[in-house]
Amino acid sequence: MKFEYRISLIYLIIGALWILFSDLAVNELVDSPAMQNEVQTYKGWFYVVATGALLFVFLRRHLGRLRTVEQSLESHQKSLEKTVQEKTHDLDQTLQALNEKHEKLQEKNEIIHNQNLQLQKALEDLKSAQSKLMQAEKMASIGLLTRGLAHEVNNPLNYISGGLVGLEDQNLAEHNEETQIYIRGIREGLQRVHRIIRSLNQMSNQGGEKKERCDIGRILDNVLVLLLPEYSTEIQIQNSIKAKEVQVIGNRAELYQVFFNIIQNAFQAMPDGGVLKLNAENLEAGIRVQIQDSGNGIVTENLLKVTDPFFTTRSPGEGVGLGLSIAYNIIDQHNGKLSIQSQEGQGTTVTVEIPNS
Amino acid sequence: MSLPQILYVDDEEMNLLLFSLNFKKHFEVLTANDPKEAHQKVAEGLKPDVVVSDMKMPGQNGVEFLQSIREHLQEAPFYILTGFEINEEIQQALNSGLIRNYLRKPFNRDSLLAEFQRVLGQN
Repeated sequence: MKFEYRISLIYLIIGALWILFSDLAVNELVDSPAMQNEVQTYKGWFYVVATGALLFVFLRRHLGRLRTVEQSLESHQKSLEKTVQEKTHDLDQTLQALNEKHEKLQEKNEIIHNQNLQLQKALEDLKSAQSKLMQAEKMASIGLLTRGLAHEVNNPLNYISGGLVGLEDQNLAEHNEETQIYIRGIREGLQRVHRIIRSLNQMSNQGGEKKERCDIGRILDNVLVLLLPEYSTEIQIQNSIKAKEVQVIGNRAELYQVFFNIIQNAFQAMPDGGVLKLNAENLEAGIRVQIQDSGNGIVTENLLKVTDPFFTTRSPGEGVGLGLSIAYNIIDQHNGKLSIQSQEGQGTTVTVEIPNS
Repeated sequence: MSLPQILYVDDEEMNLLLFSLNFKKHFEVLTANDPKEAHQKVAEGLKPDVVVSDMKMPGQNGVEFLQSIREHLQEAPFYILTGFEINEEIQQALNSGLIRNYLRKPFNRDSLLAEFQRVLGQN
C-alpha cells in the first residue's frame, strides 16, 4: 500500500480508537466532573503530541528512505553519465580510427588501382612482345628454310650457268639463230630464278642488330648510283638531302635494301621518264624520308596489297613482287612506319618514318 | 708463258668440271673434291696463285679450310664461292682479311675473270 494511504489509515484507526476508548477510560478512572474536564484537556494535548511524534517518526523514516533512493539514483545517474561520456569518447576514438583506416584503405585502393593499370600495361607489353617473338621465330624458320633452299637451288643454277658459258664459248650461237634463242631462253630463265632466290634470301635475312648510325643522304646516293644506269635517262632527280644531315640508328644494310626497293619501284613506274623527288627531315625522335615519283601510280584497290609478298602488277619476269614486302618488314622491325599514297596516273609517294631507338 | 694456277675446292663434281672448263683459257685450274684432298695437294707442294673454296663441304667449311691452309699459302688471295647469302662467319673472314672477296653462285664468269686478273696483276 502506498505510504500516504497507509499513514492516513493508521491515523484514522488511532483517531477512531482514541475517540471511542479515551473518554470511556477517563470516565472510569476519574470520578469528579471537574477533574474529568482537566484530564480531557491533557488528553487532547497528549493526543496531539503522540500523533505528531508518530507522524514525525513515520515521515522521517519514509523521507530517509526516499533520500537514500534519491542519492543512489543521483549516483547512478552520475555513473551513467560518466559511462555515456566514456562510451562516447570511445566511440569518437573508434570513429576516428575507422576514418583513418578508411583513408588508408582508399590510399591502398588507389595503389592497387595503379598497380592494376601497370599490370594491364605489362600484360599488353608481354602480349606484343610475344607476338613479336612469334613473328621473329617465324621469320627465323623461314630464313633457315630459304637459306637451305637458296644453297640447294644455286648449285644446280651454277651448273646451268657454267654450261651456258661453255656453250657460248663454242660460238654455237653465232652459227645458228635457233640455238641463239634457246641460249637466251636458258639465260633469262636462269637470271629470273636467281633473282627470286636472292629476294627470298634478302627477305629472310632481316633481323640483324639495329645499332649503326645510318646516313640517309649517303644511302640514297649509293642506291641512285646503283640504279641509274639501268633506267631511263629521261628521269630527272630532285634530291634535297645532304650527306650527314639526316641520320638514324638502325641496320645500314637493311635500310639500303629498303630504299633500293622503293627507288627501284619508282624508276620502274616511270618507263618513259619523269621526276623523282627525294626529301628527308629530322623529326623530334627520328626521321622521315619521302620518295615521290611522277609515274603511273597505283590503283586504289591495289594500295593495300602492294606490301603483300609476291604481289606484283608487272609482267612475269620483270619483278617477283617482294620489294615492298621486304621494305615494309624491315621498317616494321625498326619500329617504324612505311605508308604509300598514290593515285592512278598521278604518281606515288612512299613515306618512311623511323624512330631513333 | 705458263698460265696462273687456281685451286678450286668444291664437294660437287659438276661444279669442279664446269669451273675448270670455263676458266681453262686463262688459268690452269686444279680442283679438289673436299678440303682433305686440297690439303694433300698443298702438302705435296702445290702453290696455287689463287684459291677459291665452296662454303658448305664435308669435314671443314670453306672459311675453316682457308684458315687452316693459310700458313702454307701466305701470298695467294682466297675467295669463298657459295650459293649461300653472306653470313657472319664469311663477313668476319672478309674483315680479318682472310678472304679477299665473297662470290655468289651462280657466278658470272666475266666478273670473276676480271677480279682474278686484277688481283694477280696487283700481286
